[in-house]
Order: sequence, then C-alpha cells, then structure tokens
Amino acid sequence: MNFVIFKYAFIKLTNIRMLFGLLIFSIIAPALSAFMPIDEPNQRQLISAYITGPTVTMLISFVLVQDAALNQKSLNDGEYLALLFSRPVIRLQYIVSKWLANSIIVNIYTLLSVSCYAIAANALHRNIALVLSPYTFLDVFLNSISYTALVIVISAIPFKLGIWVYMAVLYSIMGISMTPMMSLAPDKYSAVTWLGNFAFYFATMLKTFVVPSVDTFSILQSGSLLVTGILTYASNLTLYILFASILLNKREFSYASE
Amino acid sequence: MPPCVEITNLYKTYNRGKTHVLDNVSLQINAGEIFGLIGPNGAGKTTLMTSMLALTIPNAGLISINGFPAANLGNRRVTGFLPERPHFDAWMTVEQFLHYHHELAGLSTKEAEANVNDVLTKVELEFSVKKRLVRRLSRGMLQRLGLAQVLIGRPEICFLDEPASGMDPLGVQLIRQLLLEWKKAGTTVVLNSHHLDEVEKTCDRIAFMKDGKIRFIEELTNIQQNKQHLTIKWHVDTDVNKNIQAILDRTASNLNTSYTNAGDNKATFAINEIAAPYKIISDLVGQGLEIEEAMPQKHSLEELFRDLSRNLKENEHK
Repeated sequence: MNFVIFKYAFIKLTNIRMLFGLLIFSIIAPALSAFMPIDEPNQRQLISAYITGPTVTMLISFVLVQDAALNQKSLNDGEYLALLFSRPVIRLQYIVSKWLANSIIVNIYTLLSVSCYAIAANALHRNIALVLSPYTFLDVFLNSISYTALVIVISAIPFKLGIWVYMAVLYSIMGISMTPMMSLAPDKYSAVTWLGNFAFYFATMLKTFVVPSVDTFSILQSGSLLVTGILTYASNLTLYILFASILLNKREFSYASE
Repeated sequence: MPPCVEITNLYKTYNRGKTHVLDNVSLQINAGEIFGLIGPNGAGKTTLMTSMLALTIPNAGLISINGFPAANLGNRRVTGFLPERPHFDAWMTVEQFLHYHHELAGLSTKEAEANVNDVLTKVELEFSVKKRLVRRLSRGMLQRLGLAQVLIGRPEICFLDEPASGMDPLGVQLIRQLLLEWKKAGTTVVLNSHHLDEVEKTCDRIAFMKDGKIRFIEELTNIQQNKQHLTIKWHVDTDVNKNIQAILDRTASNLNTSYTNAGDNKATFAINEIAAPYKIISDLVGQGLEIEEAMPQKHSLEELFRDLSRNLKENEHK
C-alpha cells in the first residue's frame, strides 16, 4: 500500500462539501424511505434490498472513487493520472490504497444509511425485523468493501468509457436487487414469461459472478456453506483488485492516446 | 557528456497500426543539456515525451534513462514532468498539492514546509496563494504551480511539455530564467515548445519532428552560425540603380554566394565564411554602390522551422 495515496485519498473523501452532500444522502434519503407504506411483504423486502443492497453502495462509491468526474473540469482522467504516475508510484499500490481509503468512507456512509433507516422505521413502528438484523450490518460492511472493489475496477477504465460500463453495471444491479422477490414462472410456453425467466437467470448469474455478496447469516448458521462463502468472497476481492491493476497497467496516460 | 536518455528505433502506432505516431525514432540526450523538441502539431513530440516517462507504451524500440529501462520505477525518483494540459487535484489547496507531490517523490516530510516555500518563491507565486484552492487559480498560475510541482521533486531530468502555454510575458521570462538555472546546475531538460524564441535562447540542441520522424537534429550554435546572412541597404542613385541587378549578380558570383533582392534598395546575402561580410561590402563598394546600412543577421529558429516544413512538404509532393 502507498501510504501517501491512502492519506490524501482519505483527506479528499472527508472534504467538507463531499461530507455534507453524502451525509444528506445517507441520513435523509433512507429516513424518508422508512415513511413509505410497507404493508406488503414484497415491498418491505424491496425497500430493505434497496437500502442494504449494492445500488446505494455503488452510487456512493462511484461518487467517491472517480479521479476525474467530480473534481476536474475535464472528464479526461488520463491527464490527471499522467502526473501521478510520473512519480514513483506502483499502480497496484495505487489501486489498493484507493480501495482501502474508499472502503472505509463508503462503510461509514452505508452503515449510517442502514442505521438511519432502521431507527426511522422503528420510530414509525414499521415491521422491519424480518429483514434487518445484526447480520444485515455485517453483510453491509463486508459487501461495501467488495462493491467498492468493483467500482475501483470500473474506475481503472478510461472515464469516458467507464461511465458507460458503470451505468450498465448499475442498471443490472437494480435488477439483481429484485431477485429476492423473483421466482421462475411455471408457464414456459409464453414469450413474456420466457423473457421474464431469462431476466431472472441473468440477474442471478450477475449476482453470483459479478457482484458477489456475503450472506453472513447463512455462513454462520450452516457449516457446509462456511468455506465456500468465504472463499468466494475473498477470491472475488482478489480478482477485482488484480483486474483493476491489470487494466491500469495497460492504460496509457497521454492526451494523444485518449 | 554521457547520454542520460537513449532512444533506439522507437515505433508507436494508434488505431490498430493505422496511425503512425512515432516512426523509427532514435536519439540521445546528453546529461546536463537542454534539448528542444520542435515540430508542427501532431508531429509526435508529446508521445515521444510520454514514452520517455513510460506513460505511453511503444510498439517497438528501446528507451533507457540513465541506463535503466524507461519503465523502471527508480527513474521516477530522478525525473520531473510538466504535462501540456495539467489537470491537478482541484479540491486541494496549493500547499496541500505541493506537500502531496513532495511526499509522492519520496522526500522527507520534515523538510516539506521549507521546500514548498522555496519552490513557491522560485516560481514567483506569493505565499498568500498557499491556502487557495487549486480550482481557484488562473491558467497562468496553474502553469506556475505545475513548474513548482516539477521543482519540488528536485529532478535530475525535467520533461516540460509546452511550459509557456497560457503564461503572460513575465511567466515566459520566468521559464527562461528557470531553464538557465537548470542548465547552470547541470540538470537535463527535455523541452517541447512552440515558443521558438525561448527554445533558441535556452536550448543546446534541437530535434525537428514531423509525421513521427526526427527530420533534423543539430546543435543550436551550428544552426545559427551556418545560417547567417547580411542585409545591405544602399543609397538611391539613378545611375547605379539601373545596373543594380548586374552589380549584385557580379558580387554573388565573385564571392561564390547567393542573394535575394528584398526590394526597397535592400538585398540579403548568404554568409558562408567569417570574412564574407567584409568581402561583400568591399566588392559592392568597389562597383560604385553607396552602402547606407549593412546588418549581419543570424538565421532564426523560426526561419529554420519554416524552411524545414516547406522543404519536407515539397519533397512529399515530388
């Protein structure tokens, strides 16, 4: 890890304007969502999946991770990185340092977000006990780390292309968030149900391979899942970091190449 | 002087080999020299510079800095870079930005404050801007900050891509002063610039690039000596004026040189030896020409640039 990169990434992320904007995002938005009527079990699950799932985490981390998007007039992050990599900085160290700094901040925001939702929902006497448990907080913590790693991979792509990849992943993730409420339709002869089933399979595959998440409750309750769950999580994290590093190593930092 | 940058048969293409940006480039840059890269837009100067810094990956060829491959991390401890389009961390203050680069360069944090003040003085930025956000700086101030960022790493080799871009005349003067200080201190500088007068005043050697190829490398003193000329202005005299063409032709023929009649009683002779100005004046006076003015002039880099560009264009048409 490069401590200088980590330190300054952390200073950037605790920038007062950034803090102010994201605190609103982490406190007001989830608290307001607790006001939504949640009579149907599916609606309750949907809101919970939204609050604890990857969508919010990825939105927050994308805002934080990008070098070019929010603090540069130009959207060309290559010109910013050219100066950085003219210094003795190993690109893998840059990736790891940025990921660690961002994971800490993202976790603060997402845990705050989940807590605000839980407090507001309890205060309003919403029945959320089914979906929010201590395991949820542990899941959110671990998943925020892996979702941030995924965003780090996207941020290693040149920004102009990366923004499209991010949008595609985010839209897919919104679909993934629905999987707990989905099931395969029994009628396999209708084109509409075929399409629906295809979407379900696609979202499930994506959830398993692209955005893997930890279900600590299952891991801790069932001994057979323990090793597989931890291994999947650890291997995905490693792959994300390595892949981000490979992407960054392949990149050229000159306006002529952009 | 030993070469500190060596480039051998460098090739770089974009668009899957369709666009040749660098085409068999080979050159050596000596330690302690100020080396100018000139050429029209799109010649490949920036790509060559970023290749030396291993920010661009060449398709073929070798680059070594102080004997090590360009991608060696150790090189970055001795190099400084000012990109043509600097995009700095806009959220930082000037002070934070310089501290950041001081630490990235691997220098001790104990001496950071003194070094930051020192480089701010060198680039003539007032201490009052230390607390100002980078995003609040003007274009010229950003360029000065970029120079401060180069200086803070105490580089042995500086790569400056259009350092005078967006600078006012005082800023341009500052760059000249810094370059001369670097020259005095034995720092190697690779300068890519369209400000040819600055290149002319500071560089030891220049390379002219076009279409990804180095077309011409020469020491600046040789260029200036080889391309001197003498402009003669004579008194208007009706008798002599009738024969002026013959007089000028005769002098050119006698002294084995060439001239161009600039009109308005002026002609410019090419100078091919040290004694040529004296001989030209004597010959013209001997033929009865009353000389009012004789002005020796060095061939400017701008003229060389124009001539080279024109010659290359003509050769392409042939």
